[in-house]
Amino acid sequence: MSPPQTDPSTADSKEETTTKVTVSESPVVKTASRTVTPFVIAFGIYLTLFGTSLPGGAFQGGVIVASAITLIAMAFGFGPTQAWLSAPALAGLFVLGAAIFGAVAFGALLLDGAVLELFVFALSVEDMVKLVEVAIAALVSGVIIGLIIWLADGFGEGGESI
Amino acid sequence: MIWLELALIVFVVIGALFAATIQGLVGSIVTFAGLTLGVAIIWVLLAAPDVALIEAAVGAGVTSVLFMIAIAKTTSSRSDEADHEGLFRSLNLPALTVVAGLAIPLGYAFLSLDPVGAANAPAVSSTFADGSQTPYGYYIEETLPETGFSNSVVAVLVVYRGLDTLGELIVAFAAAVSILIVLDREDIL
Repeated sequence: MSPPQTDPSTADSKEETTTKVTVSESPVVKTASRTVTPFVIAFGIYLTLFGTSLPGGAFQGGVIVASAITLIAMAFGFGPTQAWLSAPALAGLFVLGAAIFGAVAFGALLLDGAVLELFVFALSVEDMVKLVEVAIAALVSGVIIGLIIWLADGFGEGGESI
Repeated sequence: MIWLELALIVFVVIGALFAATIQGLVGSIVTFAGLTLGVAIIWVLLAAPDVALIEAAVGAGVTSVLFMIAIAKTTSSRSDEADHEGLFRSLNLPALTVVAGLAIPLGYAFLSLDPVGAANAPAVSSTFADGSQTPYGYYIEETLPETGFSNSVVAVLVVYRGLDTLGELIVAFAAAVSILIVLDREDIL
């Protein structure tokens, strides 16, 4: 997946209608954010997966992944980023996170455990916690990316891009 | 090390005063993001890297962007005009009184805290004065043998206090769903 390309003609017309915040057209900002983003996302995934033994965790990892996408949105504009990210996929990210966590929490009841009792599953506690951590990271990053992208662009007709 | 901490505290306090009094909302937001990075470095020096990561990513990154979006969507160009010449706003005395009334008790409470790393500080000691075990001591001592995790923060979040985390995530999920409802796009769910 590659970051969105802003069409120069639409970017110009957008600048005429909204004069408050114009999206940066600097190639330095675009290249820097495009180069940094894969490393930031890798760092977020690393924090999520190794949170059981090192500083970090799912909340930190999810927020860092979301901040990488926010950087892309600041460099390329909220409208192009929203067009680039599929809205159902983004919604699917946090619905999937909630579904996995809910399944782990209440699945323990089926195995004669209490709610969220991780010791009753066939997998080891560490693997169950990593599964829960991935679910939390997916939910947190999906919610924060959606919060910023959708609120900034107004989502659909009538909404005004900044 | 103490000089680095003192310099950071001075930087954060001066940054907070600037953020509250500088002319223009964009200036306030940028100053706020800068001082939040100072707070994140203070968390690292206090041996709390988990909090520092959240402070840097949410406090300096996401919150600033949300503030920017909010002012870009709400303020007209006139409402952000300077109310007088110079770098700073004119101060509002009643607001200043309320802030001082909050800051003085907080500062007094700060003076009563144990020094960082003191043996009898509640966050470190494993037993109360009467010899019974503290909850903090339990988590610090039993996390590794019970779960095998060396990061007890994650163990508390997911294993010991999983229900609280589930509640937090329900709040975050509800926030995302309500944004879609407000924007009239709940059909994508």
